Amino acid sequence: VLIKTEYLTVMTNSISLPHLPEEQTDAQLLQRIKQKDRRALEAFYLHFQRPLFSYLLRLLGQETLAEDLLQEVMLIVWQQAQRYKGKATVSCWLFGIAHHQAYKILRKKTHEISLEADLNTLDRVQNLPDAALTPEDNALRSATSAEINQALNYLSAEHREVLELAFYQEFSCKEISSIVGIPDGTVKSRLSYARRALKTALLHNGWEG
Amino acid sequence: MQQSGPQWSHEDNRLKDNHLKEAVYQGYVARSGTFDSATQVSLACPKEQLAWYVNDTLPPQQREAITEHLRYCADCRYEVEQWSRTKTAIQLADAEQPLLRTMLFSAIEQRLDTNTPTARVRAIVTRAWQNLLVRTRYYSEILWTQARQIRVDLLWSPLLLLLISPSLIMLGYHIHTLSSLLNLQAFLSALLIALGMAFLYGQEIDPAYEMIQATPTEPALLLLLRGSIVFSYNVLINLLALLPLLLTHPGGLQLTPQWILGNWLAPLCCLAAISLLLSIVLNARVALCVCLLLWGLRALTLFSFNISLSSFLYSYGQFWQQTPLLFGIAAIAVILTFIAVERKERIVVL
Repeated sequence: VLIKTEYLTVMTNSISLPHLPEEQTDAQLLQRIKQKDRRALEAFYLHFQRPLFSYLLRLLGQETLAEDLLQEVMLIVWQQAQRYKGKATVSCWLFGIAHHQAYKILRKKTHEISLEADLNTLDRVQNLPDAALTPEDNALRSATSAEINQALNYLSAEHREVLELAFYQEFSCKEISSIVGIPDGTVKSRLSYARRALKTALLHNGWEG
Repeated sequence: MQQSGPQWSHEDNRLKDNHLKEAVYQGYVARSGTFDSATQVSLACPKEQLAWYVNDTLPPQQREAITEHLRYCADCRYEVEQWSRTKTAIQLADAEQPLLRTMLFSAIEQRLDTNTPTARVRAIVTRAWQNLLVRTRYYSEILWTQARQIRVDLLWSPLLLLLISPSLIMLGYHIHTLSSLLNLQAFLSALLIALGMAFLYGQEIDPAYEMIQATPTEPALLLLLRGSIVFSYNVLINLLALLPLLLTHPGGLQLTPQWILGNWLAPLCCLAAISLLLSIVLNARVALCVCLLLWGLRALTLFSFNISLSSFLYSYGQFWQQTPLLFGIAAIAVILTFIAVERKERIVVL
């Protein structure tokens, strides 16, 4: 556990958002993008590429698809930067676009998604007795990243999304609510549900404490 | 049991939110060792906020209050530990995700370059051309499949037309009978095409029907392609049947466009369309009977055999001379056929 924690600290430091110079905040970069400044778009891309890719990959599950969509999102930013009115943070606005685009694809390939796996897992979550939580607690602590990724794939896109936005992108409840377009209460309940489903999926995948 | 409340310090008074006060109060209860079940029920833990406490997005005041609450609430501490583990798991999983291609921004720039008006027009034209190619290939494949599944008797029966003219010529028919010969040929060709349309779909076990059931191809598309094959094949045979007459009597025939439209094409299209509609809506037998009846009556008017016609038969004969009306009826019948075939995948059984 200790080794994993250290490893995680190193990794999360290495993948955290690069700090922009003060004169180039997100909003200012968007201002320059409105004026069709390609260098600003490049800086904007470098700033958001990793978190955005991670989010899209988590939602779509396919590397090439996530890369294509990342390009698409950047094109939308280039074309529609003037639509940003400053009511939300830039990252919120950007992830909102990414969410919208990703769900357009997800809706198209709904038939390809194995609903059976999701339903089975979530059904088990619904019927899970409280006593069963104890070994699962250990599951989250000791499972490898591959096992966690595999377990996450058992969750529906909506549940993976809130986990990703809350704990990797570290958005607040209100921000997630505005990105995903659902009420605060739904974000909270979806997050609790996703946590339980993740634990169940870890057991479902054959993890043994 | 007497329950003494907590003494709110000046600092505590900053916490104006009652919910947070309750959280601290619960901490006081736990610290002082006093217990009141009624009080404990009323003091709800801020469970809904704990996930946001862990991801560090709560306002400072709220965060501070929860930190204080956690000192005394084992349940919430446990919950926070669970959320922390979830957070660690998600971050661990995300850290293992593949890296992005380094040249991705170049690809984005290329797409920006292709987003100019001329590039967009070029892209639309290219896409339309590719679309056309794909669709042509798709329809030609279906056409070929349908051609292979058409009943064999629909292919050889029109060939009988080819025998009529040479036979009559060999029997020594004179040039002045040619107009009657042409009328006979037009009459028979219309009947043959109508029967072909009636039996577009085959027996009870029809490979085409099986295909309709097994593939998502629209029934209307299959009907259109199959009907087009049979219709155009028959028209081609009709034209070939005229060849012997054209070759033996090149100057004797008066094949004007008006004659072709009025005496040949219009009745042919009308009868074929009526036959197709009846075969789809009802069945092939009904279509066959109606066609024979219509054409039998017309035979009386066309080849009068020196019998005086009743007024009804005379009007009926005139009806088949109304070119625009016949084309109109044919168009309506075809439209109704395609509506019917979409609504009801009815397969005609012989």
